[in-house]
Amino acid sequence: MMTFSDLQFVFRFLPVFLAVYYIAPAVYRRLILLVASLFFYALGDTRFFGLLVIATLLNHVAGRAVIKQKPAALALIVTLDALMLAAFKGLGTFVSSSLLPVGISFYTFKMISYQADLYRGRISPAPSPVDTATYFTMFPQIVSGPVMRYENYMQNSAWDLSALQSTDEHRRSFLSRLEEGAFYFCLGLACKVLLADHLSYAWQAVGTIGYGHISTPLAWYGVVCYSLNLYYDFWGYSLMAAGVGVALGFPFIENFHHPYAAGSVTDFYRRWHMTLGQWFRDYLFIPLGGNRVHPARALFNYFLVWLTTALWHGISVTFLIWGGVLFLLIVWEKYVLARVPVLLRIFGRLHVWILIPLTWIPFALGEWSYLKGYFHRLFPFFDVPANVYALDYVSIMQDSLLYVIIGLIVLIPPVTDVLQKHRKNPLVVLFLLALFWMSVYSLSTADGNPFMYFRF
Amino acid sequence: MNEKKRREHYPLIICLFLSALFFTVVSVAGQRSVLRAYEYDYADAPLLSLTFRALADGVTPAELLQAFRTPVEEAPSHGQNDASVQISAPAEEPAPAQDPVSYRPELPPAEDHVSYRPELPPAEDHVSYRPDPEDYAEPSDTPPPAATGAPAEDAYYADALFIGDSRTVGLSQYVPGLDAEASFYCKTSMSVFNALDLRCAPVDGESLTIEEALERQHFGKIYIMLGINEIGYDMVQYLETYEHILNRIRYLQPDATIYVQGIMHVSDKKQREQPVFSNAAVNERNERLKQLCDDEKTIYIDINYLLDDETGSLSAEHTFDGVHLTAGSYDLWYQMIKAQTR
Repeated sequence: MMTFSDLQFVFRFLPVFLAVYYIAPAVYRRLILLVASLFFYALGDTRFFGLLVIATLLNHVAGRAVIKQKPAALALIVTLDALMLAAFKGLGTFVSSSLLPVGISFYTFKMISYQADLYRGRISPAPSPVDTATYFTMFPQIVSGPVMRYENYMQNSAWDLSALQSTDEHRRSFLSRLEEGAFYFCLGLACKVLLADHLSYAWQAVGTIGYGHISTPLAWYGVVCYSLNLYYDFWGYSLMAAGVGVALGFPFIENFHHPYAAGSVTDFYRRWHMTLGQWFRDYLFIPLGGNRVHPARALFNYFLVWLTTALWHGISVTFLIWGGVLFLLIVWEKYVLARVPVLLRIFGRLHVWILIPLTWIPFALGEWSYLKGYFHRLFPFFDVPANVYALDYVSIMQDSLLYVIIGLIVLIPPVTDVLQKHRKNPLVVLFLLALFWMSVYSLSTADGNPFMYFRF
Repeated sequence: MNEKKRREHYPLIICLFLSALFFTVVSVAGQRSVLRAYEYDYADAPLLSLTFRALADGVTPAELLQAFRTPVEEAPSHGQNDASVQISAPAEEPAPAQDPVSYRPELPPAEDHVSYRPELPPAEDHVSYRPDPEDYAEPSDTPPPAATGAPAEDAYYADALFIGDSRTVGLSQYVPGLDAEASFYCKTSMSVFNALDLRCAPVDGESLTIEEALERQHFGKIYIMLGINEIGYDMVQYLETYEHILNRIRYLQPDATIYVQGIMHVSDKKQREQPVFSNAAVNERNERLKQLCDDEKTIYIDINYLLDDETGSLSAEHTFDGVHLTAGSYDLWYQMIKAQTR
């Protein structure tokens, strides 16, 4: 039930929650959100529910000292949070993946940003325990972000209704929040269920054959499938999370801004998983001096940021390769290509369309042997292994090409921008309605019956 | 300053609410009739998902809406391929609810099965079958293998036919030596329920059903592996249909030796993630499949012993998704076939 693209969430948890949230007086809404979020997490990850509660309490208490500008308190709590994350990531990688608490990578980052903002005076007055706890644990963001800032949390428009005059205005404002939230939720659900989930079947089929035994055309097709799958999965989730947030009164938090329309790798990572990039920029890169320092030091700053970004995603050689390649590309773009702007314009695009999809392969394949095998198949200049079926891509493409084509079309910014701009247009509404029910259909039929329709 | 009062519209949430209500009501009504046989647990999914499952199965909207007008007593049949309808095919009386894994079918004891006679119709009724000499594979120059060993030559399999689901498709793709000699009538989604009617047999440039192809072609050895797609279904129904297929093949190919390949195991990870794929169920079915064989013209062969790990599951080194072999492991399957082919 913790995934938003789950029928239990869409048709049970969410409607019931929204009903309680809006029927109750505005003063209780923070508490309702907190209780619902704790319930949500306790159901989804019972084992580590206690950890979340303890971390929340510790951060709240520490925050009271941090807001008084005590550097020792800041250093202590940030170190504690970072160590907690590192410890569980380590356990999850080297002992058992079941030891990684749900959402820990995201809520510890929220906690660190909270402390830093308290210290800098961006949060004032000191938040109540309910506010701190709700901010850290709120269910629309706990699982995979976005890493919203506390100041956005305080911009919730459903809690302070003193500006609204009549019950009429109350009703209209909450309905319009729901309407806008539903728009993003339907779009996100379709991205995840109709596009990403279907593309993932193709990627699974590649793995089933064995990464070292796929034909070269399939290896390249796999790069496209995985890149699109990853994007629509994460963008879909982010839109759903943002949609629920908007329905609750929060501002829309953007996590993806047409990344594949970027002109360079540097630009891409300002549009991809934006809240994470902004976190690293504001809480690591800039405190280190950013790029307004001696070039050697700036280089080191970039390196450190990409190293921690890689490790944040996962502790493995393949993630380090992923981060390392991106670091080198960004340095290459900033310090070499930038000197000849026309080169940057041309090569920047090629970097985005060809190199970035290739970097998703180390990101996707956790093991070095898989990675080595895959790259040998992408660039078969060294050897061709036995057991390669030259036409392996045929049936996989037959099943997935439609989704790849749609996925490529939806990459073009105006396609989704026009939907957003004309949200109230009856055609758009009908289209989103259709997307919603197609997604529900897909979830209903895949749900629980794994051998339905003779998949093997 | 005049504040213009704008009419606010909330079409999306209103339509979502109304359509959800509609589908729920259809499910409620349908449960009294068309959807009655569907397994549904309120705790697992919202009621409206039933309607979508029915639509996916081929229940027409008209049939669903019919429930509003007249409460229909019997659930209409939708053919063999109904995925989630748990009623046995030719039901005179309702089939008793049974746990597919623990049910013991009433097959006659092993001694009665030693001499296997196909149910041929009386001579005057059936068209006399003559194999077309041109279809007849040239006999191999090498002598046939000893019962416990097997010749290594791929050419020995020139008169072989492989029938099966996606696992067999993999066999055809990743053992090129075998694929060059033998015939493969296999397709993802094949099951005992549709095997004979699936149009997946390439003969003379045409795509025939397996039954049609078996009427035209002539094989010396026929290997079958079916069972993973049916693992969640009633075991008796599976076995009875399997037996029907064996009878049919026996009739169409009286000279062939039929090799019933035991169902391949799934990985331990797979059976833990999705308990319906249990190797215990696979093993039980394999035991029953052995009873369908007479060990002379219908021979059971085990194709798990080179692929299993110590726990009796498909070893993780041979599979990525837990069900199919990775490309490099199909050779082991071929080895096991060769070792048990006579």
